[in-house]
Amino acid sequence: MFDVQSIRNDFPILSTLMNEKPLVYLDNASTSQKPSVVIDAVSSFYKKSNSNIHRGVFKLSEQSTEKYETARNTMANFLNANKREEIIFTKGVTEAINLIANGFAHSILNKGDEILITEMEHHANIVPWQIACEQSGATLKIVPVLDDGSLDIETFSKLLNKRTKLFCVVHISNALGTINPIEELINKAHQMDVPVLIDGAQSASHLNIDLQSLDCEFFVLSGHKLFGPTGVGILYGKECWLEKLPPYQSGGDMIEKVDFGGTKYKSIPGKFEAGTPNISGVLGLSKAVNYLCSIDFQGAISHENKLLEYATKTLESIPGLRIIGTASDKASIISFVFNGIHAHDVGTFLDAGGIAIRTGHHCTMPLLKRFSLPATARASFSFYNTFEEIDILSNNLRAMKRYFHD
Amino acid sequence: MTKVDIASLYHNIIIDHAKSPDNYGKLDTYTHFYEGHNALCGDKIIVYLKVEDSKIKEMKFESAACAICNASSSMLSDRVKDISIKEWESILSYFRRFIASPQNPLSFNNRLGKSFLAFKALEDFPARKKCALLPWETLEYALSEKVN
Repeated sequence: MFDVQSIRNDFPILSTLMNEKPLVYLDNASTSQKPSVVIDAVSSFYKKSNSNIHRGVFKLSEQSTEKYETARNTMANFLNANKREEIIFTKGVTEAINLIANGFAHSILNKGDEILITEMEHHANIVPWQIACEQSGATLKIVPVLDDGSLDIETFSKLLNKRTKLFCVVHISNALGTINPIEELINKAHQMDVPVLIDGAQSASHLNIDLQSLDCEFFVLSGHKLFGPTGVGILYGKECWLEKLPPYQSGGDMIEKVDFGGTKYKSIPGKFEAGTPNISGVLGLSKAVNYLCSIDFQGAISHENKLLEYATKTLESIPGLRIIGTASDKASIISFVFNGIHAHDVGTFLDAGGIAIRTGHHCTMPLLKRFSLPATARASFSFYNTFEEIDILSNNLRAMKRYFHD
Repeated sequence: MTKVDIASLYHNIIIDHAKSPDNYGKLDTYTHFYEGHNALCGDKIIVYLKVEDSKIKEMKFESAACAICNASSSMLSDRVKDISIKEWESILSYFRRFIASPQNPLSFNNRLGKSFLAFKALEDFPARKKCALLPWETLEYALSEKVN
């Protein structure tokens, strides 16, 4: 049974004050808050277990290695990957996509090839591909977005062709909240033998992810948006693809043998994990996932959907407020603009009321350009948010309107 | 966390300038212009200048920006009318120091003009300092990019 009040008690920051008001945290699409179990796991690692992995023969190091590799199992189970070796720990989505793009630029792409992305991608799923295309002579193709913030599937189908070497698409738009029909997109791409990369930065915290059922070639996520620490994330890749790609970074821990006559790399996942990783971060992320499995996650998702419905209705009733992104399938992310009040001024005014929202281009400048907007205000909800917080948001927005327009 | 005073930031002077900015638009003839962006938030301002004999004769601007940036642009456009490049350089350095530590009276000098004291509240809103600085930095770039 999902009980939001008891869930809130698991997140210590939610009971703090901001500008002398109870903190109303509505910037979950940027980063989620951390439950005590995650904070404790990170702190406990440094207090009791700190030692490097894959190196020492002493017990402490062996224990660290075991915990780290167990975390890989946890993530593989959580995402239902086929093999634990298909889970690579990275710094986050940005590093994961850079790893794939770098590999494609060096080993897969040739002049005349195409990479297909969409107009609603985060910069992290645009810029690495621009660079990969620049390096390889491939061309970047863009699937447009429709007025309601959904993808133009018809054009997507037309853009897929024999030259397409990879289709990269965000699962849930961080700027609009649109949930893309990735099953359909993956099917269509596979019919043309095009592999698919899913940016799951937003989706892993809002939806159940089943990688074997999705059948995508790559799936990436960031730990800090999934109630885990910053600086840790996951790259999932099908084994055959991870074998095909060259190492991204190189050095310690990713080798079998180093010799001036030639160096032999470890097999996956070690090949992609050079240097000492973010061990405490990995353990924290694994704890976050265990936490999600311990609560009524279906109840949490259903609570988020009710929050989205209530917030949409409440915000729509504020005169002069326009919601950007009205696709039929949305996650609990609402972007909005006001006539005559810039998003930054909205953000600063709400901050004075203890409300944290994101304002700006949300690292999706091409998407905002498509809507002819320099910036939006964005409220993004997690399962620990409440209906009362939406009322506080709405009351502050109404007060703001009076303040700026009177 | 102490309370911030929203009214101190959205001072009457700032609201007035933001609502009806002076010198908004494009100059019919200009010698310099530059499109400045705030990479962090996507705000945009275009500064047009007419410079003659090492003097800024006139500035106009167009923008898609917040109240702080628009007010700063409007006040800047008034302040730089008919001043020498030398004076511009001097007030730019004063404004930069002022915004860096708005509450420090030593860093502020009346050469800017009293109305700019309205930005004192940025001390409590450090995230918004870049909004006030954007037009100033754009003007600086504009001066280095002459229209051919």
